[in-house]
Parts: sequence; C-alpha cells; structure tokens
Amino acid sequence: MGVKLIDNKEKVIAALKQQVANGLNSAGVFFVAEAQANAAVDTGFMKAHILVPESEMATPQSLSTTVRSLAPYSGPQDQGIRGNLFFTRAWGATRLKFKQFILGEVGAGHAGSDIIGAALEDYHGPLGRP
Amino acid sequence: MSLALNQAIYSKLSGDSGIGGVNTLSTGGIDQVISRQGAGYPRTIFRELPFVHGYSFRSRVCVHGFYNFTVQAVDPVNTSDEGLSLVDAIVDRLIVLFTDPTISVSGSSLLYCRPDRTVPATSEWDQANNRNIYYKGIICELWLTN
Repeated sequence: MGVKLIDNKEKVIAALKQQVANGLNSAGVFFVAEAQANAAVDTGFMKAHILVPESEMATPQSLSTTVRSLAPYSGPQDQGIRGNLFFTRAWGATRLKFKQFILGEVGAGHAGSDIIGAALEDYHGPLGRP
Repeated sequence: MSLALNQAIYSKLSGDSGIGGVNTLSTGGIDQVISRQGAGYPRTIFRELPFVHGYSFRSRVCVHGFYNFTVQAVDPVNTSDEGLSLVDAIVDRLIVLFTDPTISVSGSSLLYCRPDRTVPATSEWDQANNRNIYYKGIICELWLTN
C-alpha cells in the first residue's frame, strides 16, 4: 500500500493564468459591446474603432487587457459638454461584472449586451466587491 | 430609488455652500446629466452610472453602483486663474465631500460611498467662443440597502 504525492502546482498555476486571461478577454469583449451600444453615431467611425487591440489582449504571460476608443474625439464624446458617457458607463458595467468574468461564471457572449437586463439577472452577495 | 438617490446627491452638492464648497465654486450651476441651457462656467454635472441589484431569495438586499461627477470650466478672462485649476479645486472638494459622507436617501440607507477614481482632465475646443472647455471628473462607488 502506498500513496504517491505529486507537486502539480506549476500545472495548476498555468491553468489559473489561462483562466484569468480568458476572463480578462471576456471582460474586454463585453466592455467593447457596451461602449458600442452606447456610442453616439454620426459617421460610425468612433463606434467602429472601439476595440481591444490584438497586441493588448490578455495572455497567460501578460495578464492585462486594454480597451481603446481610437477616434480622437472619443474623450469629449464621453465626458464633454454633450458627452453621453458611452465609455465610462461601459467601464462601470464591466467593473460590476468583473468578478464573474474572472471566475468564468459568465462569458462575453453570455453576459448580454444590455447591462440593465444583464444586471438584473445577476446575483451579488451583499457587500461582496465584484 | 433612483429618484430619491439623485435628489439626495443633488442636495449634498447644492448644500456645500461654504467657502471652497462645490456649490460656491460651481458658479455655472449644478445639474444632472447635462447643464441647463446658457449655464456659465465652472459647472458641475452628476450622472448615475450602472447599478446592480443584489437579492437574497425574493428580497432585494442591496444596490451597488457608481456615480460620475464631471466639472467643466473655461479660462476666466482677465484673471490670473486658469480653467484647469478651477476644475481641480472643485474635483478636490468633490473627493472630500463624497468620502464616507452622510447622505439621507428616502427609502434606503447609504452603506458606503467613496471615490473610486478620477477621470483624467482633458479639453474640448469651443469654436463658437474661441476657447477651450476643460473638464475632469471623479467616479464614486456606492452601496445602498434595498
């Protein structure tokens, strides 16, 4: 009779990093969808250029993802005198769901593109920071 | 809930009328979502960001979300002051005002309110008046009961 003890923590860490990277990218995709849904449209240039650059997507080696709105007038469209907070609201929506993305409880495709509807479906523990 | 919270936030802002207060410094007014037509500068705008509702079985037990405060200013004419410094002064005051404040919300209780982050300063060119409009903001995180 015997028990073999194996140190698998490297495999576990690698798997966790992959999961976190997937979660970050899901959050990024959700962020983009929310921002595009809220973006003011004239020519469509700004809406079409809200994206996560491929070079800035999360990987297990680089656990961060960046959402950008490349139109130079994005700032005023967000926070300016007639801005509608398209980017800030998308950030808020993503932030509220961030824990679920990281834990893999929802994927970008399943989170919905409408935060109001999506938020109502979610359960958040009282005072647990997402 | 939204109406009561917006009213409470507005009361907090408009009641800050001492020296260096938000209401004192925001001579162009304090408004929700968008400034009233013809409002001057500097001015303060507050806007509700996404909130999510937390449930325990059939009862809503908490509401969690964010508020955005944006300050807009222009360079005053013939003074040594600058638009950006006016914006900074009001933003600094907003951070103090919304760090663990006492705010009465009808039908609910505020559990937590603190600035989460600032929104970086930037400017927008006002072609009609040949000037820059500067703006900067903060985002506050709020938790409320039911």
